[in-house]
Amino acid sequence: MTMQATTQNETPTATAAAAVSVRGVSMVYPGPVQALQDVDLEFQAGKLTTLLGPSGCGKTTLLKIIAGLIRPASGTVLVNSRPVDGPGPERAFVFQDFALLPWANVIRNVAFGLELRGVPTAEREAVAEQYIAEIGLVGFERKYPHELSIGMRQRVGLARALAVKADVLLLDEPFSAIDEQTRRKFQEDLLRLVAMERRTFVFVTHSIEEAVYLSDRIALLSPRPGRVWKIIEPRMSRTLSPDQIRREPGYLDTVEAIWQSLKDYVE
Amino acid sequence: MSRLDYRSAALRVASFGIVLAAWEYAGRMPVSIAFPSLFDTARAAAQMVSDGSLIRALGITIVPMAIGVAISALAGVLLGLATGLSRRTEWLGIPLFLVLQAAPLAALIPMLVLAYGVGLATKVLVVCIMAVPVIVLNSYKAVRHTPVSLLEMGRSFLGSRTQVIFKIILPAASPVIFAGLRLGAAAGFVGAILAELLISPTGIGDLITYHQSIAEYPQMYAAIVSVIVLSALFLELLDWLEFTLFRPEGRAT
Repeated sequence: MTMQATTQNETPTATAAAAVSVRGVSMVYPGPVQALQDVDLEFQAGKLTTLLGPSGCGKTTLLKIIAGLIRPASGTVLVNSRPVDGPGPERAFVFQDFALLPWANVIRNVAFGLELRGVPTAEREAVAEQYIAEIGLVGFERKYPHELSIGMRQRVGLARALAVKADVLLLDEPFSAIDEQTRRKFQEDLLRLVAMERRTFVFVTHSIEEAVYLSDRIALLSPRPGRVWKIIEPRMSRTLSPDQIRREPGYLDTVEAIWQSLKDYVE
Repeated sequence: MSRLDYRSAALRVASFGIVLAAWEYAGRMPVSIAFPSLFDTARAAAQMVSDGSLIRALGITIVPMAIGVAISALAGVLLGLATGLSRRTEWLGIPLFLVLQAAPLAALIPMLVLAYGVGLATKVLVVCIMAVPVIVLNSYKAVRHTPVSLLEMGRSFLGSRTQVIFKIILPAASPVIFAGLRLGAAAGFVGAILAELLISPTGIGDLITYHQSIAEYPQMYAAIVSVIVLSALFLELLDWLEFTLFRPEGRAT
């Protein structure tokens, strides 16, 4: 099976199953720096959409605006058709630096989102156990973050986000601190999670390969001011093995095409 | 204990050994007739313990010390947290404590004596003046330096302000707060001795002044060393308290 990359302009008509819609969002930092300019973007339910772009394109800013951690200068974000006004229970965030509590063990970290919501100890630990099993950290429940490898720490961060049962998972360069070998394993696990969990994933990365390999849809952002520049949908058969996908001419062509279009901004 | 712990314990003993040996050597040279050797000092200490004078003096000195350090710890940490948590109170407190930290506070003692007399209250006040600034400033900095991503994590998982303070900011700040408490307690101990030397001779300060005046230098040094030992023991206790209460993971900073 060959893989095609289609490029299209974002059309508001294709929003039937949008879990998150970003409408006319702009962001200005003091300076003034125009971080985002008039961004319109739809994130389809049950899919993994990636925000890809060179550093300074505002992709993390956009993710934090969706998370409700940053208030945009103008524009609105709708999650399940309701406007975002701060963080909400239907969204969960996975942090680039994991943001684990160093003084709390794995099970408390995984259950921390539920702890903040006042879920009783026994109940939240049962849920945490379930996700600890899902991410493959059984036996590490009583370990502390500094006793875990970098990769394991991010698994804990992921499990914490899954445990609050949010519809939308926001992942901010979750694999950037992880070494290449572990990252590949992680990417495969993430694809399995997307297929299994049926949640909406919004993924930020600066790695073209990672974006093409993981995404149902890629929003390519241009820097300064950050705006949506292209939407790319890598079409590939998820039935191929990960190694086969990475050798596919279509996969490689998409990576190359994105690189060619981003190259100008890097120089 | 692991092998590494044994090695670090051995190194500690070695470092003490070197200092004590140097003391003994310097005392025997002698560098000054007012500088007794380690053994003379130890002998004097043993005699002062057995006749009860050292214990009695420590019992007196420890009163302003304990009251002052306790007040400073409580007030200092609370003030530091208040200024750290709220931008509104920051400007009120912090410049004052920065000035106090830099000022030669011993120079204020005559003024305090004028205002509050030569009793316990003034001595407690001296301890507080020495101890509070560093405790306030450390607690303030500790709160301000809470990792941003932990704060964002707390907000994004719907923590209330109270939850974020008690479940994230305070535990994250505790190592630096305790570092401030250790520095503050040490400064407070200095303040207590200073008060006894400069205001009215009581307790250990009295022993130091008295034995100095009759040229019993081993006794004088024994009194000084007893304060150092007391202070070191108290700092160890603080360490123990910190690790049992706030650092279940046993992570060193």
